[in-house]
This record gives sequence, C-alpha cells and structure tokens, in this order.
Amino acid sequence: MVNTDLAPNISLKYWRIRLQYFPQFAALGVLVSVVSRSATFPDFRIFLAESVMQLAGMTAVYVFWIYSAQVLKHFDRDQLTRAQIMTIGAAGGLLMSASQSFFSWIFQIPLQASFSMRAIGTVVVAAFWLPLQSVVVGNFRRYSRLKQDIRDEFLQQESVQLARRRALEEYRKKIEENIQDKMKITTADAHKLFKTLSTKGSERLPEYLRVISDEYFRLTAHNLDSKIKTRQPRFANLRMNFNTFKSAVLESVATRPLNPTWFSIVIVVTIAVPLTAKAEYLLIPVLALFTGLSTFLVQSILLRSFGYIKKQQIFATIVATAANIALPIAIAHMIPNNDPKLGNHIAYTFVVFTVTLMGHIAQAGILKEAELRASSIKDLEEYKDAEKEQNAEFSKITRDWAKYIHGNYTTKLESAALAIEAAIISEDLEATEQAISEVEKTLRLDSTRSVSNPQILIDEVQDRCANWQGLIVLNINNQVRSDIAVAASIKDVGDCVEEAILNAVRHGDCSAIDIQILEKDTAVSMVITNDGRGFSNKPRGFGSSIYEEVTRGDWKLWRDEKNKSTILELNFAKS
Amino acid sequence: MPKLLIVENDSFAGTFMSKSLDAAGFSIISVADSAPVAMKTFRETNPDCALIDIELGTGPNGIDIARAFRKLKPSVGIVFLTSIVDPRLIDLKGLELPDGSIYLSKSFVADTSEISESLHESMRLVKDKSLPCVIRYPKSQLQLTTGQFELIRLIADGLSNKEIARKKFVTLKSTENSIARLAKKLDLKDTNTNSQRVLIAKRYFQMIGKV
Repeated sequence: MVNTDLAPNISLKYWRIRLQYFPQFAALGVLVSVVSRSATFPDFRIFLAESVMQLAGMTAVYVFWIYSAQVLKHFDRDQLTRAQIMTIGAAGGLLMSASQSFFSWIFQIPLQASFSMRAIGTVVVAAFWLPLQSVVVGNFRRYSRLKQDIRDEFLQQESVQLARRRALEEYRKKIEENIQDKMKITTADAHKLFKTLSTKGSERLPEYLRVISDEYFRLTAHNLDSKIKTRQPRFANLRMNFNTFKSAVLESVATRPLNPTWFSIVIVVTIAVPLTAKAEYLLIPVLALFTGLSTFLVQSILLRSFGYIKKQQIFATIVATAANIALPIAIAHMIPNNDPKLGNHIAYTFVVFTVTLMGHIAQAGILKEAELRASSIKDLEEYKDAEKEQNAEFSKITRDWAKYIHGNYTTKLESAALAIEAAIISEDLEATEQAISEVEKTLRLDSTRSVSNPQILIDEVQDRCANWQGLIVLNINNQVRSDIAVAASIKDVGDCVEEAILNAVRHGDCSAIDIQILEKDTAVSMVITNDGRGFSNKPRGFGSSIYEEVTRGDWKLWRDEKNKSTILELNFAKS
Repeated sequence: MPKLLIVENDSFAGTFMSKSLDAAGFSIISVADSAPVAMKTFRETNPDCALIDIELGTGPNGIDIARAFRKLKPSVGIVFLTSIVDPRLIDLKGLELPDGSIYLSKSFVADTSEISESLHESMRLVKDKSLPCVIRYPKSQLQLTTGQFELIRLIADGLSNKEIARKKFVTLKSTENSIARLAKKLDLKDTNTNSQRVLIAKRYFQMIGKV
C-alpha cells in the first residue's frame, strides 16, 4: 500500500536540489526533445539547427529559473504554492521560445512552427516540468531523511540502554567499595550509623534500593534485549536488492494507469511537445493519446485479470513500450509530404526505450520507498507499544523485589542496631565486635543491600502541615494506625500533601483545609478538602503529575458546589 | 512611629535589620523566623508594615505570608527584601506579588535608608490598590525573558532536558533549542574545558545570591 501523504510539497529547497542535477536534466531534456523530433524531420540541417536552438532554449530557461530561485530566496520565500511554481515554470517556457526564435534569426533557419504555436507548447510543458521534478526529487529526499530519523532514534535508544548498563555496573562497584569502607568504622560510629539506618533512614539508602533494583534489571537485561531484537523494525532490510527492485518496477508499471497525477502529466506532455512543430503534426498527439490510453487501459485490465502474475506483467510492459515506439513512427510515415529517415527512427526508438525505462525506475523507486516507509512506521509503532508494555511489567517486578528486600533488610538492621546498643551499654567489647561482624555479614549479602525510608506516615503529614499553620486553619483527622506502610516513599507522600496545600492556598485562595486519612482494603486514602474557590479547568502541572506518579494514577479532584468546597482524594497503595 | 514586623529566618540578618530600622524611626515589634510565628505575632500586634524575606525554607514562602497578612489587614505595607535579584527566578507557581508591595533585591540596596524609604512608600502605595508590586533590582539582570528565567531555574534544579520538556509540555527538541538560546544570551559556551549546563546553574546561583 502506498502512503498518500507523500503528496508533493513544493519548496525552494527542492529547487536547490534540482539545480544540482541541472546538467543531467538539461542533457536528457535536449536529447528527448531533439531526437524524438528526428523521427519526423526529413532535413538533417534543420534537425541540427533545432538541436542548437533547443540547447540554447534549455540553458535560457534554467538560467531564468536559477535567478528566480535566488530572488525568492532573497525575499525569504521558502514555500511556494503549486500555482506560483507553475507560473514561474511557464514564464521560463516563454523565454525558451523567445530564445529559440532569436537563434533561428541568427542562423537564418526557418522554424517549423510559428512563434505563437511554439510558445504555447513550450509554456505548457515548462509549467508542468518544475512541479514534476520537485515531486520526484522532494519525495526521495524526504523519505531518506525520514529513514535516517527512524534509524537515529533506534540507535539512540540502544546507546542509552548500553550507557545505562555501563553506568550501573560502575555505580554498583562504587557502592560495593563504600560498603567496604563502612566496615572500618569504630564502635561508636557503627552505633550511630545503624541507629540512623534503623530509625530515620539515610541519604544512602535510596541508592542501595536502586542498586538492588538495577541488579535485578541487569539479570533480566539479556532476556529483554533478545525480545527487543526480535521486534526491531524492518527498516534494517530497507536496502533494495535486485528482486525487490524488479518487482517494484513491474508493480509501478501495473499501477501507473491508475495514478491520476502521473496520467495527467503524460497527457499534457503528449499534446504539448508536438504542438511546437508544424500545425499538421497535430494529428500525432491526437493519435498518440488515443493509442497510449488504449494501451494503458488494456494493460491495466490484463494485469488485474491475471492477478499481477510476473510473466504477464513483463509481456504487458513489452507490448506497451513497443506500441509507444511503433505507433508515432508509423504515424510519421502517414503524414503527407513527410520523409522520415531510418537513422532517426533508430535514435527515436532508443530514446523512447531509455526514457520509458528511466521513468519506470524513478516511479518504482518512489512507490517502493513510500510503501517501505509506511511499513517501517507501523513496525516502529508496534515496537514502541511492546517496549512500553515490557517496561510496565518490569517496573512492577522491580517494585515487588524492592519491597521484599525492604522487609528482610530492615528487620536485620534493626536487630543489629539493638545488639550493638545493648553491647555498648554493657561495655562488652567482645559482644560489640560480634554484633558489628553480624552487620558486616548482613551488608555483604547480595540480596540485602537496601532498605526503604521507615518514617511514619502520620508524622510526615503533620510535619508538612506545621509550616502552614497560622496562614490557614489546618485540621488533620487520622484514622489509620501509626505503623501502616505504603508502597510509595513517605517523602513522596509528604510532597503530595505539601503540593495539595500549596495549590489550595495559592490558586484556591482558601482559608481552611481538612485532611482525613483513612484505611481502605488495598490503600491508604487521604481526602484533602479546602474551602477555596476551586478550579475552572482540570489542572495540569507539577501537582497533577506528582499525584499521578506517587498514587500510580489513583487520585481524583472534584468540586462540591453544595458545600462550596474542593476535594482532592489521593490513594496510596499499601505495601 | 510605624510598627514594623520583620520576617527573616536568618537570625544575624534579622537582628541587624532590626537594629538599623529601629534607628531609622520604626518601632520593631519582633523578628519572626517562620510562618506560624509570623502569623501569631501579626494577629497579636497588628503592625503597620512588614519587611519579609522570601526564602524561608520548606513550607510557605514570604509571598504566601504577605498575602495572609493582607487578608488580615489590607492596609499593611509590605517590602520584600531578598538576595534573589529578579522575582522571575522564584518558582512562584502562579503566585502573584501583592499589589502595592515593594520587591527589593539586596544587591540593589546600598544602605538601610532605602529599606526605610521603601517601607514608607509601600504604606502609601497600598492605599491605591490598583498599583502593582514595585520591583527594584539591578537593571543589568533584565535581559532574560520570563520563560528563560524559568528555564534557568529548572536547569539549576538539576532537571534533565527530558524532564524540563515534560514539565513545560514542549518537545525535547524545543527544550534543547531554548537552552542553546539561553546559553547564547548568557554568553556561555560549551567547550572541551567546561560544561555549559554547570555554568548556567552557576549563573543561576549567582543571581539568587547563593554564590
């Protein structure tokens, strides 16, 4: 399936690209224009003069276009509408005709058609020429950029993962060293340290917790990696090999008659090119159009009937190309007073074949690239979804693991701290050393390097509220036991409470806040009610993001118009 | 003699200002070092004006206290005296400076007489409620936009580009561009011998008077 959003976006950027290809396009243009006429020119002298005039005309029109691009750039006009581009193209065509007339006067060679006839034809062709080139070059450029972006994004993800793993490894070593250093502490220091550890927590503890989580991550990383690898987007295989290229070419030939843009351009060019010749040659475009249309239609019907079988595709392509070559030559012979040369027929055949082939290749490239782009994006989206799912699963496992560690480790540390304390009180050096030795063992256990903050929830809430007393009236109604534990850290819960108070005071302009703490089956619920003016829109900012993160999405905010109060309910999952 | 309440959590600065302003003709009620103490003192003594530090540690800041004072007594004159050179460097979270108050950057104040005059001026200004807060700080610091002040603060808070983007609801690319523009404006270049991010943070701490 071809992605339709590759519609041409005409921009001066593509002009610049086009200008790089000027020599190739100019050469091709002159070759097509001159040699295709050669089939109908009886006189070699006129044929030669036409060649010189075509080249001069092409040069004039390109110089004009280049200058126009520079002028537009000067005025910062980067984007042009299709009509504007076509107008500039048509103006170039007019210039080309004038240039041809000028050279015909210089060489004293009569032209085959009047200036007006020649000008009409050239203007129409030139008007379509620029948008066509912009589409071809622009689409290729845009696709290659997109492909690069996708690749960069993927590589970045990979490098981030790798860097994270390396950092974790180094970090783990540092923590190990720190723990070793801690072993050299004195008895008094040990007592102080473990008293701190078992009661208030320390700054180091969250780090230990992270190490444990990250170690678990490291153990499962290879498994995750293998899953990621199997879900890599297929863009790695985007490079076209001969078979995909061949099938793309054939496919483009098959679908070409169904593409209205391409088909319109073919019609206009078919009519416009011969218009520049003698008036009686008008018979050529009419017949060529008729035969071209018939060939395309038959080709399309045949291909669809045969279900795009390769052999039929090849056959249809050969027939179509042969018809495109043979029919105009036959028509040239049918024109009265015309005596075309055999050499010109051969040159014409060669050019038509080459141009047809090049056209097919270019079109096939665009279609195939568009298709691959669409499938790559789809793959990447699927990959992202899968990764998100895995991350969520992994996050849950990590949390469960941390909770398990928390329980084990806290208990061991607390008992160790008590043992040290008892030994110090009794001034028993041997018992003290033995207790420290136990602690060493505990710390060296791989699975017990971490505890979470063991502060009491209600104390934290009261601490946070104390600073605001006086500014507003704050009431706390606690209905949960003091040793209740929640999955979130107590500090995070405190941050949520503080944020709720701050929002109510600053945005709600409240004068009183009631905080009710309740125990539910699976969560500790905190209902914070204020008498402020409420909110006009759903709040979006730091507050809502911290509630979302700490409660894992289990929070709500609503306005009770009856009681003129604003209520925030935060539910913290129990651990 | 106007009654003055000083809210300052640095005891040395509080004592110094108390003595200086006493000499300048104010009746100093007290130096409160926290919001609850300040509110209690205010209710009990009903001062005519207040000199308030903005940064008071965790909990409410000086602006919250000033607003609460105004609720109790709308005619109270308020002067903020802070080391933060520009109020846009504070994470106000939608908080507005009270009307008729005066924001004084310490680096702007040369001697006590300026504080004294500001206190008198604030008491006059507050009578006309439509007047916004008067902000006085060194003009050389005014080259940044409000968005850039917020950005510099977030960088100094240690947030990564990704976190800043998430917080400001913009794309990562846009954040990177904004930081590049900010660095250019502050004339800070990223070279092999320094880290641009650290220099931006350093500049922030200079601006809030912590370096």
